[in-house]
Amino acid sequence: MNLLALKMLIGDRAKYLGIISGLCFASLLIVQQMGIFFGFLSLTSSALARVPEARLWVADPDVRFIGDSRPMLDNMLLRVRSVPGVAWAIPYYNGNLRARLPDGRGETCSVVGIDDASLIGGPHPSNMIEGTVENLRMSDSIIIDQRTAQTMFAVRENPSDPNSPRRPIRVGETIELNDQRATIVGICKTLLQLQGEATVFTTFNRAIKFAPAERRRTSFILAAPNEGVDVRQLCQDIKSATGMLAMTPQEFQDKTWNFFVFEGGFGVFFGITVLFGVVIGVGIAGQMFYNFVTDNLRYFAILKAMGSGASRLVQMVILQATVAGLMGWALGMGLASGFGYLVRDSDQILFEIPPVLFGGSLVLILMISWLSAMMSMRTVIRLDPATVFK
Amino acid sequence: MKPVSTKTNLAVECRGVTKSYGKGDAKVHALRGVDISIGVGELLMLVGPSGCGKTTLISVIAGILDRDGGECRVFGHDYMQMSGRERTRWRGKTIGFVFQSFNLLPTLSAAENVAVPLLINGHSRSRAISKAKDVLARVGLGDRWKSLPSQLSGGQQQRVAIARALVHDPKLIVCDEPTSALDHETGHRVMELFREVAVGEDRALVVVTHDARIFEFADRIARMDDGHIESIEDKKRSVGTSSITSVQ
Ligand SMILES: Nc1ncnc2c1ncn2[C@@H]1O[C@H](COP(=O)(O)OP(=O)(O)OP(=O)(O)O)[C@@H](O)[C@H]1O
Ligand SMILES: [Mg+2]
Repeated sequence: MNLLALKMLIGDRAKYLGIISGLCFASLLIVQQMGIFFGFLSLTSSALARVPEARLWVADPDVRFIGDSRPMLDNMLLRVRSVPGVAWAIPYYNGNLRARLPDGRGETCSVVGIDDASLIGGPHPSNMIEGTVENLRMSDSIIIDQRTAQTMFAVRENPSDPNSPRRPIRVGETIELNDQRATIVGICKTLLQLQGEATVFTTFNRAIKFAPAERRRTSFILAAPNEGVDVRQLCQDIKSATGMLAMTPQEFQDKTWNFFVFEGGFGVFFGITVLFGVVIGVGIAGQMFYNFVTDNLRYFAILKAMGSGASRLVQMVILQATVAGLMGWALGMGLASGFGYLVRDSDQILFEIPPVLFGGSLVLILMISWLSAMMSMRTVIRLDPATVFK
Repeated sequence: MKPVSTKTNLAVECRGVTKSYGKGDAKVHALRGVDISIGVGELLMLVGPSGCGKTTLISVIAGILDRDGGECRVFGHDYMQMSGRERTRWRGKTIGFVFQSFNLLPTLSAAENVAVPLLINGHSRSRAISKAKDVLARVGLGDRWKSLPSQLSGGQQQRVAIARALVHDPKLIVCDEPTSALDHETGHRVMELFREVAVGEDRALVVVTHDARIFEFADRIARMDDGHIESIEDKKRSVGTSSITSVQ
C-alpha cells in the first residue's frame, strides 16, 4: 500500500513537481537566509576564534559584544595576574584608528594589539603569506591582512591622480597610524570580520602608543587557568577580585550572539524571513497538496470502498507528504549549498550551514508538509465511499 | 456476527429496504421498500429508468451506503450490526467492484491495479502481484501486466477492472453499468468474460445496466421503477420463453 501511495504521488508529475518546488523554495529560502545569518553570527565572534589559546576573556562588566570595546585601566592586568589559579594573563588591544597611506589617502582600520612577549593573539604562523609573526618584534612594525593589502590599503600608482589605478600595498612600505610611523613587516590571512574593515596587527605596547592618549587602554585581558583549575570557578574568582567580567570564549560568543540576535534586531529580521519561508511553503505546497488530494479523491474513495480504512488512507497521505517534504528539503538544501559554494570566497558574506540549521530546516520543512497534508486530511477521512458509483 | 439467515444458498436478502437523500422539501425517496433475494451462483441484472434507484440499491447491498429502514443481509450479515471498521474490512474481503468508468488508478500498472484488493487485505506485495498476473492472464491480458491504464483500450481497461474485482475471490461482485462506456461488441465480449470467469458456484453477481443487448447474460433480470422492484424475470428456468414474476 505504501508503494502504491508513492506511485500515486509521483505518477502525478505536474502536481508532484508543484508540491516539491513549493517545499524546495521554502527550504531554499530558509536555509539560504539562515546560512547567511549563521555566517553573520560567526563573523561577529571571529575575534574569539583568532585566539584559541585564551581560555578566558576579562572585560568591562558593561561590554555587550566583542566589538564593544570598553577599555580597562592598564593596572587591571596585574590584578588579574595576582588572582590565584591564573596561569598567565596578557593584554589585548582592539580599537579603530585612522591610517594615512603612502599616497596620502586616509582609511580607518581596526588595530589589534597583542602581547609583546608571547605574541599570543596574532595571526597563526600557517596563515602568514609574507613575513613572520616574529617580525612584530621590529620597531614600528605592523602586519596587515591580505584583504586589507589588496583593497583598503591599496595605493594609487599616481598619488596626485584620484582616478589612478591602485596596486596592493607591499611589505616594507610605511603608513602612518595617528601620525606615527608604522612599517608593514608581514601579510597574513584572517577570518572575515563583521564590518570587513582593514585589519592591522601590532604589539600591545605599540598599539597603545598609536592610540590617542587615554587612561584606559586595555580592551581585554586574555588568560588561562593553572592546570587543574576549573575555568568557570576562576571566572568567578576574577570577577570577585577585580569587579571585571570574566568569561569563557563560549560565554563571550553567546553574549555577542545574544546581542546581535536580540538587541541588534537581526533575530527579528531573520525570524521574519524564516516565517516568510514557512508561509510560502505552506501556501504553495499546501495548496498543491490539497489539489493533489482532491484530484485523487475518487481513487481514495475507491480504495475505501474496496476495504481501506480511513486510518490507512491517512497513513498514505502522511507518507506522500513526508516523501514530498524530504525531496523538497533535499533540493532546497542542495540549492542553498550551491549558493554557499558560489559565495565561498566573498568578502561580503560568510555562509554557514551548522548542524542545527541542517536538522532544523529538515524538521521545519517536514512540519510544513505535514501541515499541508493536514489541510486535506479532513476530506480524506470524511470521504463517502458511496461516491464511487457516481 | 452469526448468520441470521437459515438459507445458506442466498447471497443477498433484502426486505422492505428504504433509503432517502436530503431533508425537508429536497428529500428524495430513492428506495421505497425494496424486496429482493439473490442466490449464490447467480448473475442478477438490475434494470430500470434513470433515477429509479439502481445505484442506490447496489450501494446498500455492497455496504458503502447505509439504508434507512428495512432488512438487508449479505451472506447472513447485517451491515447495521457491524462497526464501521468491521464493515470496511468485511467489504474488503467479500465484495468486488466494477464501475462504469473502470476507475483504475492511472499511475499504477495493470498488475498493480489488480493487486490493490490483495494489498488492502494485507497480502505481501510480491504475492499480490504474482496473483494479479495470473488473474490478468485469465482475462486475456497476461502480456499487458506492465501497461498503464492510459495505454490500454476501454475494453482492456474494463477487463483489468474485472480482474481486480476477482483477484481476492470475493463472494459478491457488484457492477454499475459495466458495459455502457464500451461499444456494443466490446461490451458483449466483456460480458462473455464475466460469465466465463466471474460466475461461480459460490459467488453472486449484481449487474446494473441500461443495455438491453446484454440481457442474455443474466440468470434473472430485476426491473426497478421509482424505488421499487417492479418485476423479476427468470431466464434460467424457462429457456426461450422466460417467465416474468410480478412483484406486488
Ligand atoms: N447523493 C445523492 N443526493 C441526493 N439525491 C441523490 C443522491 N444520489 C442519488 N440521488 C437521487 O436518488 C434517486 C436514485 O438515484 P440512483 O443513482 O440510485 O438512480 P439510478 O437508478 O442509478 O439512475 P441512473 O440510471 O441514472 O444511474 C435519483 O432521483 C437521484 O437523483
Ligand atoms: Mg446509477
